[in-house]
Amino acid sequence: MSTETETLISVQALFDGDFLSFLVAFEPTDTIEEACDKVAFGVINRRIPERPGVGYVMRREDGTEIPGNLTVTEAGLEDSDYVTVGFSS
Amino acid sequence: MTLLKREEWHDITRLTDWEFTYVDDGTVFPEPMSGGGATERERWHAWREDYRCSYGEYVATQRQKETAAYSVKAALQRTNLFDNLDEGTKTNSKLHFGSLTQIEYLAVPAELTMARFGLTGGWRNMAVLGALDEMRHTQLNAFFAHELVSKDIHYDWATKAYHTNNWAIIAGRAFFDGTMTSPSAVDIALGLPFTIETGFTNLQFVALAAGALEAGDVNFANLISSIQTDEARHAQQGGPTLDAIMETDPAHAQWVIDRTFWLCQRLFSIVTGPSMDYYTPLESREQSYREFMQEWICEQFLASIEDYGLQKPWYWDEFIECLDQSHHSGHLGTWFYRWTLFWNPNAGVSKAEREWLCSKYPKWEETWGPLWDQVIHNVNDGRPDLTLPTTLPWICKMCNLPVGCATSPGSVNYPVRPYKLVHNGKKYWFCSDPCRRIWWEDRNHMAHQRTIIDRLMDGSVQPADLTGCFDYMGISSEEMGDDAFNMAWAFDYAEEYAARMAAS
Repeated sequence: MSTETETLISVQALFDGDFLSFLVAFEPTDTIEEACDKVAFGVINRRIPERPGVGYVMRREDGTEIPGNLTVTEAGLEDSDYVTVGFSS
Repeated sequence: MTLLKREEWHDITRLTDWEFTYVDDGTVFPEPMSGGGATERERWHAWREDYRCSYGEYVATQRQKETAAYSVKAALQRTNLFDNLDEGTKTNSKLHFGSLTQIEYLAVPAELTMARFGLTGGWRNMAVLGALDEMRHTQLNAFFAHELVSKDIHYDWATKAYHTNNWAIIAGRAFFDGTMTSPSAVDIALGLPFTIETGFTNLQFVALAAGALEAGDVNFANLISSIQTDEARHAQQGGPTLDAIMETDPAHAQWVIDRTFWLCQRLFSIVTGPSMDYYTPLESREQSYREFMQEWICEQFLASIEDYGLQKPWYWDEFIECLDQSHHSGHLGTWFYRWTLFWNPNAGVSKAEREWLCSKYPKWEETWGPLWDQVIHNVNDGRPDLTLPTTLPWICKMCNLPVGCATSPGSVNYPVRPYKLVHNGKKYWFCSDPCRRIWWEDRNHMAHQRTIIDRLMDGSVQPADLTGCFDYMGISSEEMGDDAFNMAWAFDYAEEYAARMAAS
């Protein structure tokens, strides 16, 4: 079945302090900063309060931080990868 | 004419085995269907049920039970008892009917597998009665729920649920198919009557009936009590089967019981946990979920398996710690994803309820309080849209429940995280190490199970968003679950909200 989802990269994301991980779809051209915003959208001000002026960071499964200026493709993220996102400070 | 006492003739009718001459024994009882392993055929003739029952006695007793159950129902049908029930109490019965009615029917072929492939006549006879029991339970549940459909569409899920791909139903289907449909007669006896019925549901039904009665749902209590007495009888098939297998293959028995117990408690944490600690009206609560599990499930289960020479399951410490956490996570998750449910979850965190939770779970406030506080803020802020999810939770490949709800944020020993396994180049994710280990051992069967996430990612769900998910799960807009009290509980905190806003 041909669907729009084939062009998206669907990962499992957990926001620091949240209680479950969830599915998030990124565009391959999204920057990691944009990808962080997509993860935060499902959590911030829903279960975890915002921190005005504080950005987000994304980490790989092994805990290494992914530079925010890379695109999802450049970062090498693939379907079913697991990432965590948290406040940058 | 003087009648013989039952014990003087019963063995003639219950031990109906004979030696085959036209075919060999393995043809009549193939190993994949019977599962006797290395246990000698003669050993099975020592199989003994403690509580015996002839067919005549069975019919007489069941007739009395049926008469009692249906006459109470008929009498109550003319009252307004149901209309006056607390919404949380209704939620408990909706959850029961939707998640178990068709499972009772699935238990019929499970009992019939034992009735055909059980390795001795006494066992096969007991299983025939078990199959009749399960058919009766299906009919009772379906009939009692049907009366309520005109009052509340959620009761339609008593018959609808297992014909849908609702995420919770996929979880139930995966567990019960794995325990009741595919295993051999021996493994069904170890998994169903010994672990699920003796270990969990028999005791849970006693608590469920008592709780329903306390909350005024006399009809539902009457139904559950009628079912529970059957469970107590046919659950006997587990003990003698375990006795026989322990002589030749204790490792196999240990594995079947361990895996079934873990997966069963995962389902309990998302069904019975919220029911006892959040849905049941505060004034009707006797015990917390953790207290119930520790007193009735843990102590009795451990005593039971140790009696047979089995060891405590390898994950026991993790299981005990999760009793403080997993169902709170499961509850917050189901409440947040309430539009995907066929029941209306009661948030259960009004000030009085929160105080009760903190008295039962000393770490509740520290762990769950901040997450619920944000929800409460959003309700008081006029932003109910922020109390809903934007996407699906990631689902454990084994138990089909959300990754994260086997534990809690802040847990030192079992923090929220997925557990990974790569098999044939493919990544699989699990909610816990026990789920991962069980999947690995059963991988030849489990690799084909598809979680709702798998279905979303492979294009089965269209459009691939929450709207498509509702359609795929069979939830219409009239059926979507919602907060049982329309968020009224959150206005308990209106003064604190007003003060905070005034200060900001």
